[in-house]
Amino acid sequence: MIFPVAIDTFSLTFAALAVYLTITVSIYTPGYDDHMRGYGRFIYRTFPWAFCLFSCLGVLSGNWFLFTIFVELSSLVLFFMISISDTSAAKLYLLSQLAGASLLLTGTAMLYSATGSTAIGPVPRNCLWLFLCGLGIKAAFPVLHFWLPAVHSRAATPTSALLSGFAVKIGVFGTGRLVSADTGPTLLLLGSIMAVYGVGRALIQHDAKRLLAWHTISQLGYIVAAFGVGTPLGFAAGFFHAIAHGLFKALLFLSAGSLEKVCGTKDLKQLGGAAGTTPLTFVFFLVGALAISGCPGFSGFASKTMIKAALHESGNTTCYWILQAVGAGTVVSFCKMGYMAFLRKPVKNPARPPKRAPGKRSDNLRNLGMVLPAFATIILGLVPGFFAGTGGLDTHYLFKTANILSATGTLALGLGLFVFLRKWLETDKDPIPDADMLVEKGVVIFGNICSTLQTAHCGMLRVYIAVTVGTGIVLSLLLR
Amino acid sequence: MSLVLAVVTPLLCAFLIPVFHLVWKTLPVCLVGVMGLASLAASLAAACTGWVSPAASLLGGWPPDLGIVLVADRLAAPFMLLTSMGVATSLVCSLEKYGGGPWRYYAIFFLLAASMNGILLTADLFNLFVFYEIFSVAAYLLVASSMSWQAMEAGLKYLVLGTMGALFFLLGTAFIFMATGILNMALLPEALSVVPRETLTVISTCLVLGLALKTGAFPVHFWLPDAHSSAQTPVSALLSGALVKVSVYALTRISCLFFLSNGGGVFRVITIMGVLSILGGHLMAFRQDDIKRLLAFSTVAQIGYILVGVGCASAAGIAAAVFHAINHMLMKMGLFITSGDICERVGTRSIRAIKDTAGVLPANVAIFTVFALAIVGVPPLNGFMSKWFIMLFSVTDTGLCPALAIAAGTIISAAYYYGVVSALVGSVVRRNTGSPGNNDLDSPTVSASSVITGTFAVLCLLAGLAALWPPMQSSFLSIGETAVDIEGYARLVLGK
Repeated sequence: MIFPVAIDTFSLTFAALAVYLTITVSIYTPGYDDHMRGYGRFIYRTFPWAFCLFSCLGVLSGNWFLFTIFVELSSLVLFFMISISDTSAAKLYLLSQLAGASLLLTGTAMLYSATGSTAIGPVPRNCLWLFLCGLGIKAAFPVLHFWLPAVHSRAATPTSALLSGFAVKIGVFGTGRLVSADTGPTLLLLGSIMAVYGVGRALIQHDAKRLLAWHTISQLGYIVAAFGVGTPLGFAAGFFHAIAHGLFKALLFLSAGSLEKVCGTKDLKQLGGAAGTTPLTFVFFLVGALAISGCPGFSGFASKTMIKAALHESGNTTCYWILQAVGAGTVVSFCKMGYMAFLRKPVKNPARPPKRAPGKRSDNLRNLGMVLPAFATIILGLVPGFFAGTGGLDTHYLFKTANILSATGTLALGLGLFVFLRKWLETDKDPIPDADMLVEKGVVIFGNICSTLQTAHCGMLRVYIAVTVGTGIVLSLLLR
Repeated sequence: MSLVLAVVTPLLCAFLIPVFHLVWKTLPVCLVGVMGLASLAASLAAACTGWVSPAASLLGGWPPDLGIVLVADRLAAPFMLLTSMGVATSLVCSLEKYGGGPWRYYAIFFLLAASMNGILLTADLFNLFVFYEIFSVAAYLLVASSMSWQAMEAGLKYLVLGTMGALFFLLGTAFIFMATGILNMALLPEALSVVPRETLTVISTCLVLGLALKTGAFPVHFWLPDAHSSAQTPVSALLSGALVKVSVYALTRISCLFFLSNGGGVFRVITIMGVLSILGGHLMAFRQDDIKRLLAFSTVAQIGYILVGVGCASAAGIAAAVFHAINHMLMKMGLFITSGDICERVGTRSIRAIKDTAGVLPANVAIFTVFALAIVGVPPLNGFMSKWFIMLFSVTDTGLCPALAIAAGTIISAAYYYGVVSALVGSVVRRNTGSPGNNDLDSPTVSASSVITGTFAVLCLLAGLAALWPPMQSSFLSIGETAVDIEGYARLVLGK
């Protein structure tokens, strides 16, 4: 069979998510790119569907080889979409994703030589690290996340929605396929680090989309930790949170894009009072923010409750409390974003007024696009039966008083902290070095190595001849 | 008999061209074209013979253990196909560029074609060396044929280093003859098995170093970037596309026949050289501003991939290496021809200096992009497939290190090809969206070479898809099986 497929609930739901998000984005885009003409507009309108096609083929493919091919192709499509707005971010994205795909292919080759098959599923211990590194670049594991904040914040909004909503989920999907007894502790550790580090970084951001990008890392941490539990409940919980996060994070990115479109900036320090000018955008933001904060009635509550239940069930109390704390941090961060962008009094002298007053029609299209993920977020929050069922839970368990209390407690704690820390959060922080610094330094060092190598081509024949003779001597030693 | 024709036809053309020039003072383009077609037909006939029914032909009626035997089998056939396609493409480009003017150029060109066929067909070690000498001298002259000082200098360097390679190869051959008294490549595997280990070390060092130098593998690649970047476009394309593959063939043939069963770490050394070439080639191409030099360093890296495949020492690995050799011929000839065309119209070879692509066919840039994507390894294209197969078999046979080098190389090559492609595409897009008024100042014209490169681009896609097709895979596997089948080769040559 030339195209082996792996069709189960897991892959079909992911494929459905891809289609759903693409529909959302393609409704939203005409309201966003109305200032563009030519190539850019063509790419924005058609490429999401190519991305959708390759992503669906990727998640449905039955071996790691095809999975990697289609994932790489979908990254290539996104690369073109990013390159319209920012070529250097696009290059960073392309190279990082290629690195991930190459590692994944190496892992696949190793898997094949070890087992004689590349069927998708858990892999033996000796090639696990290659798979985790390869998928880790996609899913923004610690240190391997170097590309994510820059790319997410510099891409155009529909692209960031697809990136955060689905592209990183493909990495998570692959990680989900790897889950076995071997992966448990590693994933738990990685997930906890991601959750804490992501939310910590998000708290000091003032760029709306960068803030959301860091929350993506934090929420991916939840998913990875849930997969790390290793029980069916943990898997179902991670699965549910991946889908829920795809929807509400796409919604948040789209509302941030709407905000940027209307107010002309995405810098929180210059925003304010947007709830008055764009009430609908505020409503959509609120849905997304409540969902990501785990407010009962939204999808985030159900999925996070499942994750906590899984952690509790398996006795991982440390991880449980870490995620509780991260939940409170998430609330603080979104209170900050909501307050600074929508609720507080408008800042005097905004740096840039919007270039052109957007038409009514484009507003409507954007809002219509955002209805879809908002609707799904609320539905999944009220009727989480399907996902709870795959983990062996019933809906009533999720809405137990203790769970609701735990979630509202986190919300209250977060709100309290926000009120307490408001002034501090509003001020500027000095940039703290991050993994992307490593990349910048690495590129410089790498360039120097290349220059040094090139100086070997000095054009002097005696050097060349000496090297040749030296190589001969080394060869004779090696062949001895 | 057809095997002899594959060598004799281009050789005859090479000698007829000066005669024609002497008698009629001009060289009609159609005559060179007919000669090219004749030698292409002879080469393809030999390739078909080799593929369908492997055959040997004895020269001069001498018995195989005394005389020279020409053999075409399933390892020689794909290389024969590859070189004949490369020669034909390069000839079309030359005819398009220079017409029938430079008769010396064409004489040397056909001499080169004859010697390549000879190397691919011969089963006699000394005869191989002789053909190698013709091959090398013709290549030095072709590199220098534009007579610019860069080309002369590159040709001179190529001459000195190539002669060193030939010297080592000759030394190896001489040591073999001293140790065994045999030069027939089919009889040698058995004869070498009783040679003392120390002698074998010297022999293998000399042969591997000589052939690696001709191949352009990393620590001894110094002639390659100069030669490939200073020569004229058709010659660069031929050098990168076909010439180095001939040396790859010789290296594969000799190391499989002589050292596969006789131990020694020859294949390990080939793998090490391959890994070094991949990393070294890509690192040197990174930050390279001259497009042709960048492509030349990229050739070093691609040779590395092929060497890693050969170093697997298994049928599957060698098959993957041959597949990559064919793919690299398609991609690199296409890259050299399109970039040569673009550079001539833009008037610079520097990537940073490409500002305005007036007169460049946007289709040419698109074709260049396809080749760049293929050589970086974007999935459905052939470069990805062959790299994947090499990676797969090298993990099985030689461990994880070559595979990681291939993975790292992919990323570096993506980085530098991204630079070239974005410079070209960016300027084309700017031009098309900018003022439309001056577009018709010098309007781009469709040329035969762009038709050929377009075909190559389609072939890149088709080859990539065909690699997933099981019958194709098994026929490629038969190439590798032929390469490691020492007894089969002996049976074929000795007619037993």
